[in-house]
Order: sequence, then C-alpha cells, then structure tokens
Amino acid sequence: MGFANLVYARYMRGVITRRLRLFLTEPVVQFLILGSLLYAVVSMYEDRTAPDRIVIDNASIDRLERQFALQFNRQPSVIELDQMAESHVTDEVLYREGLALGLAEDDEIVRRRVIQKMQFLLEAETNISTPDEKQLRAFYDRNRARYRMPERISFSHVYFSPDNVGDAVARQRSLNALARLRAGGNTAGVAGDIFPGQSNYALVSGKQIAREFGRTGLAEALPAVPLGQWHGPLRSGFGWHLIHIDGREDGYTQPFEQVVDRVRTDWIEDESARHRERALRMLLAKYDVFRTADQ
Amino acid sequence: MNMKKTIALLATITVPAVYFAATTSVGAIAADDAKVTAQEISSDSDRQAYFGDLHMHTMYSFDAYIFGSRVPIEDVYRFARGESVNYMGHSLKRDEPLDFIAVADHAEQLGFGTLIDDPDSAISKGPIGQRVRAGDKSAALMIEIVNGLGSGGEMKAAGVSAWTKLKEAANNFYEPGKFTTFIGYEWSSMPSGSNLHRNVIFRGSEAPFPFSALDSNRPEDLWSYLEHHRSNGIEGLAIPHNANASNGLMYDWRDSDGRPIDEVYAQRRMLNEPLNEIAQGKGQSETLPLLSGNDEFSGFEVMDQLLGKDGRYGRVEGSYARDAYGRGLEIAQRTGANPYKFGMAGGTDFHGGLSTSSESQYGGDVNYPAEMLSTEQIRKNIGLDPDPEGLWNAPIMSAGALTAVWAESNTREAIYDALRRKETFATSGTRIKVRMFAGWSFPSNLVGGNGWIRRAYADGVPMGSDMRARPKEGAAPKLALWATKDPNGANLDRVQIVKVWLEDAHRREKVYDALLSDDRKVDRVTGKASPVGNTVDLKTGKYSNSIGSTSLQGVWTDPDFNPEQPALYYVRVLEIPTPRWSTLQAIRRNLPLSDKVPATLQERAWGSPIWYMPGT
Repeated sequence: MGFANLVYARYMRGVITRRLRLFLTEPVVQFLILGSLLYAVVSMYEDRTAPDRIVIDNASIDRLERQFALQFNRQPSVIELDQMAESHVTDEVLYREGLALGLAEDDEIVRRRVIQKMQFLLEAETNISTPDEKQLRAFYDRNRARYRMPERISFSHVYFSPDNVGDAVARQRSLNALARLRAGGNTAGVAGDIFPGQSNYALVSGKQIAREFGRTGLAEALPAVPLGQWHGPLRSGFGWHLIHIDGREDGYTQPFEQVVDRVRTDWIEDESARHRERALRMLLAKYDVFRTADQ
Repeated sequence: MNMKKTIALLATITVPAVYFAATTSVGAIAADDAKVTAQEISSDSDRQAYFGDLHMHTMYSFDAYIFGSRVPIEDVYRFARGESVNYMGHSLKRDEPLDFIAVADHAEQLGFGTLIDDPDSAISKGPIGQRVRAGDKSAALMIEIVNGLGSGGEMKAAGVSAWTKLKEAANNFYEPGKFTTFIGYEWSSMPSGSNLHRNVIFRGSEAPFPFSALDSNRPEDLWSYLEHHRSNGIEGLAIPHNANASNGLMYDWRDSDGRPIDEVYAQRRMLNEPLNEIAQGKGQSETLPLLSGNDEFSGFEVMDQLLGKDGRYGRVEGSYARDAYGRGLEIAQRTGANPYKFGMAGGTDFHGGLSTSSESQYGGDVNYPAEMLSTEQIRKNIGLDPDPEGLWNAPIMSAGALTAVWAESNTREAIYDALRRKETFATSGTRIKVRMFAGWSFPSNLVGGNGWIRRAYADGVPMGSDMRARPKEGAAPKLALWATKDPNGANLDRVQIVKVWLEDAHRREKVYDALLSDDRKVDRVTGKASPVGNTVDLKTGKYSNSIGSTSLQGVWTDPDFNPEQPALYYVRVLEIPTPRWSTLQAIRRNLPLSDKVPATLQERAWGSPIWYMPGT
C-alpha cells in the first residue's frame, strides 16, 4: 500500500466515525437496532436447534438413488429406497452426535479423507478448456527445450582390451597405435581387439553411448572430442579406446507439426498443475505460518 | 458459483468415481502420443539386450500398503526409467534406468489400502482396520488378510478401481522404442504356507480383471483363465517365482489333484508358463549345495526358509530349477511332454514401488531403498541386532534381480515375444550380457567376428530353443558363447555350462567351466579351475577390475555327449567377487561386518537352456 493510500484511509476512518456518532443518537435508529438484535438472537436460537432436524427431501432421494445405481448398476426398488432413507437417517444422527462429541477431531483418517476431498476439489476446480492451435504454438515457443532432440554423434573406435595383459599394457598399446594412426596409418594396420559392441556407431545420443560404454570416462569425454582426427586413449567400462568422430548432428528442436500431440498433453498437464498451485497458494495466503521449532 | 457446483457434484458421486473419470481422459491423450513416437522406433534384427523388472509391487498391494508404501504410481514409472523422484524428503534415483518394467501387485485384496483410508468401509471399521492402523505388520496379519477378507462387496469395488488405475498408468507410461511397461499382477497362491506365486504379464494395452488365488489356488485354474482370454485375443503368460519357498510343490511330480503329471498338464504348463523367475529379493531358486554338491558356486544367495513360518525350512526337492529341469526330462520320457521346459527370469519383488537391483541401493528392506533406512534398522537387517518384529530373516535376503531379453526393439511386442520364445537371461541385478547359440557345425572361431550373430541364428538356435535335428553320426552339440561385463560393474570370472541329462532314466547334472579369465585352465585331475581371486577391500568396500575379463567368448563342444540321452544346456556367467549389500551398508554406517552372511558375492547371469532330444 502506497503512502497516499494510507493517508486517504486514515482520513476516511475519521469521517465515518464522526457521522456514525451522530447517527446513533437518533431514537428511530436506536429502535431499529434493538429490533435487529432481537431478530439476531431468535435466528441464532433457530440455527442452534436446526441440528435436530433431519429432512429427507426430493434431492436426498435423488442422491440415494444415484448412489445405489452406481454401486449395483440398476435403480433401487421402493422398498430398497425406503430402507436406504431409513439408514440414512440413523447414519445422519450418529454422524451429528459424533461430530458434537468431537470425534472428527484428532482422527487421522477423517483428517486424511478431508484433505483428499479438498485435493480432488482443487483438481476438479481446474476447468481446463481444450487449447486452440494458437495457444499450443505459443506454448511450444515458450518450451522449445522440451522438444529438443539431443546432439548425436557418429564415431569409429579401436578398442584395446586389458584382458590377460592388464590395464597399463592395454593403454600403452593404444598410445602406440595412436602414433601410427596420426602418422597416416589405417585402422587395419593397428591391431585393436574385438569389441563386444560395434566398432562404428552411427548417430547415437549421449544416453545411448553411456548405456553401451558405461557412465564414466569415454561417455563423458566424447562430446568434447574434435571432429575428424584420431583421439585418445579414452577409458570405457571395457578398456581403452581410440576415437575418430566421423560426424556430428547438432541437437535440434522438433518442428511443431511433428510433436503437436505431445504439446497438447504437456499444455494440459502444465495448465492443471498451474491451476492447482494457484488454488493452493490462495489458500495458503489465508494463513500465517510460524516455524518455531529449533531444527 | 463453480465451486458450489463442484461441491454438489462431489456430494452425489463417490470420490473414487471422480478419480476414475479424471484418469480416463488422461489415458486417452497418452495413447495418441504413443502413436506418434511409434514411427521413430529403431529395430535391430541382430537383437539387443534389454533389462527389466517384471515384479514390482506398489501401494495397491495390501502388504505393501501395510509396510508403509505410499509412492504414487506415476513415480514408480518415473523412478524405473531413471528420473529422480522425491519420496518423504529424499531425492531418489535409480543407479541405472530400466528398459522395461511390469507392476505386479497382489490380485488378492487389490486396493486394500484405499479401503483402510476410507472411514466408511467395513474393513476400515473392523478389527483388521484397527490392527493395521495400530501399526501391526506381522506375517500373521498378512495371512489373515489374504485368507479371511474374501473378495466380494467393497473389496471387489476397491479392486476394480485399483486395477483400472494400474492399467491406465501402465498404458500412459509406455513409450515405444524407449521404455516398455507391461500390465501385470501377481496371483498369490500359498497352500499351507508353500509359495506357488505367479506373476501374470499381459502383452497388450487391454487386460481382464485379475484371476486371484481366492478364485482358485490351483495353477491349472489360472491357466484356464489365461487360455480363455487368449482365445479372445488377449495374450498373457504367467511366471512362477520363489520355488525356493514352495516346500517342494513348485516342481512337483504331481498336479494339484495329486495325480502324476500327464501330457496335457505338461503342455498346458509350458503354453502358459514359458519362464520362471529364479532370482529375486527373496533369494535364488537355481540350486543350492544340498542338491548340487559338486557345484562350488551353488551357495549363492541361498534362501531356503519358508515365508511367514518363523524360519521353518522347506523341502528342497522340487524347489529348485536345475532339479526341475531334470525332472522335466524324466516326465517327458514317460509322458511325451516336458512340464519344466522353462526359461530364466529375474525380478525384485520389492514392495515400495521403487525397483532397485544393485547391491549399493539395497539395505535389507523391501519397501525403502538403503539410504532411507536408519542405522538402527540397518543393524537389524544385517544381523547385528535381533529384529523380533522383522517379517523374515533379513540378512539372507538379496538385492533385486533382473530379467534380460534379446529383442529387436524396446516395445511391448518385441519384448513380450522374446519372453514367449525364452530368449532371455536372468541376472542377480548386474548388467552382464550373455548369448548362447547351439548348433552342430559352428566353426571354432565363430564368435565375435563380423556378422557372427546372423550366422549363429542361421546355423543354430538361440537360448530357450530346441536344438535342430542332428545332421550326421558322431556330431556333438557346439555352443557359441558370448558374455560381456556390466559396463559400470565388475569383470567376469568365468562362463560355465550347466548340463542336465538323463542316464538310465535318471537325471544327472554337471557344471563345466567353458571359458575362464586370466588364462586359467581346468585342472585335469579335479575337473575344476582355480578361483579367480578376490580384490574386495573390506574396509572401503572397493574392488578392482585388475582380475577377470571384460568379455569372454568362444565355442564349447560337449565332451561327454551321448546322442541317446535327452539333455539340456544352460549358461551361467560369474563376475569376480564384489561386496554384498550387507557389507556395503556396514561400511557406510561404520558398523562391524555381518557374521551371518558372506561379505562378498559373485554376481551372475543365468541363460535360458537349449534342449536336445534324441531322434529329433
């Protein structure tokens, strides 16, 4: 609230108090106030006695009928309906008596049930209309990252297994081979070992590389390896590798037309989440939360 | 105004009905989404290995609910595919994403938790509800619930609602080519405490309401259910598990009526149960030292106690797969059909909705990953302190296992069809890859070269198959073997061939060391290879891949082949020793090591067998 507003509010409070004082000295007004007070007392008394009245009206009968139909897939007979109405009355009596005794308080199940109902309410409140194309395109533009395909790499590698010779020997062999390859030798000339996977990978993502070679080492280093020359050695879960990046396909955002169905799903999901959160925030705003615990 | 209308609506319809309507519309959207991605699925005719868990429980299982599982079904799938999920203040992430998963909640009392949460339900108001709320987690209560609650009325309604939600969630999270989900459930038959449980897995996006052990606890009746729906175009299969706790009933000589197994029983069993889950959280069911005295690696993760029976030991005969393979050959000799011609599968059977299968993420609890457990609870779980309230003997329980398939693509169709043809292997949770082909004329240098897989398929048969007809006198089966380590795990110690055959109508077994790391050879006198060694530092829990091999491959020829004898071969791959979960937890929490269980273990993979029948 700005300063000007504050001043205005204080001024208005003064005006109202002065006028009110004058107003209350009028006899007619005093009579009216007394009458209203009496009316209020009577209404309050009536309200207090209302819990003793249980009404079965057309709406209650409709509700019982629907409940029955939902459970048994048919309409109840007159006798069944009558019995349901009767047990509804006893249930209602027990329920109100229980409430009066405070049985609903400090009951974890009741509490959880009420919370659950409130959550459903908040969700049901979010009346989300079907988005039109304009909305979807705007959403797509705002969330392009979600529809991005990752960078993909094509590479060849020569593998040096530590099996039977040990890690250091395997690494040394790879270093020797690297020198030969860089001096213009071809892969056939450097005797690598048979790799359990493939020796060439065409357009694979970082995730696929990690799945195949292990999470650390090679998979982490590959994105930074320069294109078009032999590089290494890099350690995978299987041993040492010399790497030749044959090509890179930059990551790209899939065109709207291709992902429109996913965009629609995401839009609806996001919108519901947003509604839910907003509703919850509005409720939270009504409370002052004090955190006084030591931890 | 809108708010008031909504309240009126809620007052007239029950909450589950609203929930049902809300989730249905989401399901329809996701189905359309699946169609789009279907165009991008890559397919490999050489087939790739995909790893999954076909045995995950969630809060919809009555026992999981009682254990305290509250992970939302959406987070079950997110966690499985490798995303971080938030659970009670912990950010949890799977060590390595799964390629596929089946949620298999108990059909019996499905959705029990929703009734406990409902103050209006009879169950919630009754003595069982009171005990559950009071925190009773005893096996006695579980058994009472399974056997005593019935399956009608409000229980049925809760089950229908839960099943609808489970099916929709499975369909929503299916991403063809990337992440496969199967609709499934567990049929939990347990006659007099003997575990006959089976997981039912459906191939498609439609599945009938579960047939439960309350409908019948006879497997034959479960098969009738599967056969009935199959004839209506809904394909499903059942995977038995924990034969080790079946008290000899899982691989019995007799059917449920006590009659000797006949040809019809054998055929129906194989039609409906092509795989068995032989490794999971409650131990392995391959074999144990009591049955396989000559197999020095048979003492792996032995769990030979019955469930919920205060540590009572079960009958060993008829409770293990290797023995069952031999029994199957004997029965086939008599009836013409083999009831125990199953392939290998593995799972977690964890109940908290979070499927983990590494030693480091397990802490002896089926409900929470290790990092969520208190040190006090860990002390009990590894056997340092007594745990009178524990459901079972926690120290001997295992970190979860996995099912792996060789399939063209990561789709329901391709993976399911691999399960059907048994081109599978089970692992104790690690990501070893193993292949085996059997032929009569493989060259000795077949494996590893360019195009070898295509050739192996052309000239031989893969795991889970029958050998082709023997072409000429004198030829012995040749097995093409290929195994590689988990890229994030330990090196391989050896590749073994387990042969089971009939000799004078009796079953025999033998384990051959087919491929060994570190240039080791089998000793001619003892018939054994020397141990690979052990690099595990019990102070730090670290091991070194300075021993063992990253991969092992070669062609193995049966040296003892007799063409008159029916036989089968399956491959077992061992890793070098690594620390067991109990050791990792002790080190992490600065506790003494458990003296109840071995400090290290040799994780492994088991491949589905290939069968040879004389005269074919």
